[in-house]
Amino acid sequence: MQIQLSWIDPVTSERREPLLETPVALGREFASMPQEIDGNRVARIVLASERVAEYHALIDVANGELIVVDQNSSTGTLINSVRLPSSTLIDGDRLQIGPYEIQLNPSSSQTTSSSEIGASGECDRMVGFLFKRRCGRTTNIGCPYCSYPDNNPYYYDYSYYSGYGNYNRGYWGSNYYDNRDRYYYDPETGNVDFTEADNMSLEGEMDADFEMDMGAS
Amino acid sequence: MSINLETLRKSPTYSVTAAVSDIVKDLRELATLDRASEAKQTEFGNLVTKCVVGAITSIVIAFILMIVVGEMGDGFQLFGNILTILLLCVGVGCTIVAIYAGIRESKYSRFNFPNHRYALTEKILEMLERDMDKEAKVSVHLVLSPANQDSKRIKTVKHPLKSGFKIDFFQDDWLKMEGQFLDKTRFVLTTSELNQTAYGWKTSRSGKSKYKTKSKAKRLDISLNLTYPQRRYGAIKVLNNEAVNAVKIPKLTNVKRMRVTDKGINLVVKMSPSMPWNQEALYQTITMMFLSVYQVLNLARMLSKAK
Repeated sequence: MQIQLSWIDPVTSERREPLLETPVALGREFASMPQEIDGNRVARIVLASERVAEYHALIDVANGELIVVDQNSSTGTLINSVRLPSSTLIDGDRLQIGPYEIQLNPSSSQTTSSSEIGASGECDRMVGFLFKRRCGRTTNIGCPYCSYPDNNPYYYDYSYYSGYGNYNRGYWGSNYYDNRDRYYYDPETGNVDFTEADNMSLEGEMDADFEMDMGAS
Repeated sequence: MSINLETLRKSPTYSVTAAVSDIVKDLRELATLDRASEAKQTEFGNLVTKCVVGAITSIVIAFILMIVVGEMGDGFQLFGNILTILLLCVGVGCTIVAIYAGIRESKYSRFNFPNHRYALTEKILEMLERDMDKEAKVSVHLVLSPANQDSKRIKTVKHPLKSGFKIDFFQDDWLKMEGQFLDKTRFVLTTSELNQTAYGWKTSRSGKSKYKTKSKAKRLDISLNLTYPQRRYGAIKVLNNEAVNAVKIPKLTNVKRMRVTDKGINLVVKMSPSMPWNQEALYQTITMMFLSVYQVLNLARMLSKAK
């Protein structure tokens, strides 16, 4: 997710407004902050002050939400003037790290994630209510998913049908789902058959095993 | 805007084929019209009540004055007569205003629609739009007249228990919605409300006869019909016998019928009158019907993938 942070440098009084890709590490020592987290390159912001820890806080995305996690700093991280070990962030929230007051700029976090933009420049996220399909948007304008922090704009309607879209063990259709690769549908004839590979595996099965599986005496 | 007030006055039915956004705009205008009519109806209803009370009070006082004035001396008689005439004028005036207000109230009552019908239609359209092309056309036929209207009577039978009583049965197919999803599946959603009214003359023990009428809701059937491309969902025939087990609907509703073929699904759900037929309950049931059917179709799609 792309975010924009803004703050006024307390030393130079310069306004800084970098546009960053999450995860974003904040700290005093560039080398003390991680280069990569879960294979993602970390944007490292150096805040030059003795009241800022070498690696002070991390802004990242968890379950579709933007969160900030304090890295056990001695001075702590204040989120909207409240000291918290971690917190979700929304547009306009203020982070106090040492003398730095950093603001998350409005709507900057709603920009479609570059990781969801495919080679064609279109969003690769699976969207839809009854059935899923590729989003294909080139912008987040009019996207119901982008305006929901947890990327699930249809949560309340799905809650009517618990386990919707789930075919795992214990849910309806699990037997078919587990064996979904064994089915072959011929659109020309309209027949549904096993694939050749499955036929071969069945041929390899001994008659006795087959009868045992079927519960025959 | 597709709403024509003159047409709506003659037949309170909204029928259109248009994009969801346009229909939603129309339904919101209907809601505004309904709200304004309800407010006017209340306003004129209150005026009728006040005028009737005023008319009765002034006429009664006028009659009392007429009697009292007759027994008084000449000095009071002139004053009493003037007051009586004035009160009678007030009574007549109140009666005229009450009649006028009653006519206006009845005029506005024609635009007082059952709120849950248009509100539900709007909510369903917004739900279905999530899987539709923005420009796709949807057909909506929404009947806004009362469920016990004469034209909706389907049969009349004798009351099985009360002699001299009859029962009228009414069927109100008040919503039909047709359209197509992005997966080329066509849907038809219909609702059919069944009501009955028992009526007749009841004689009390003292011998007095009184006309009695009692209406009650019987059943609401919601039917969802989907016709899908065979190439995409053809393997559904494998799930044919188990599809009904995927159906989840609210308590107090029952599956009346479910028919699955390789070309389409028909699911009919019956809502009993013990469940309130309000917007929320109906929306939940309809949403669950769509989710139930697509729970089956999405698995069928996985099984239909060509190797």
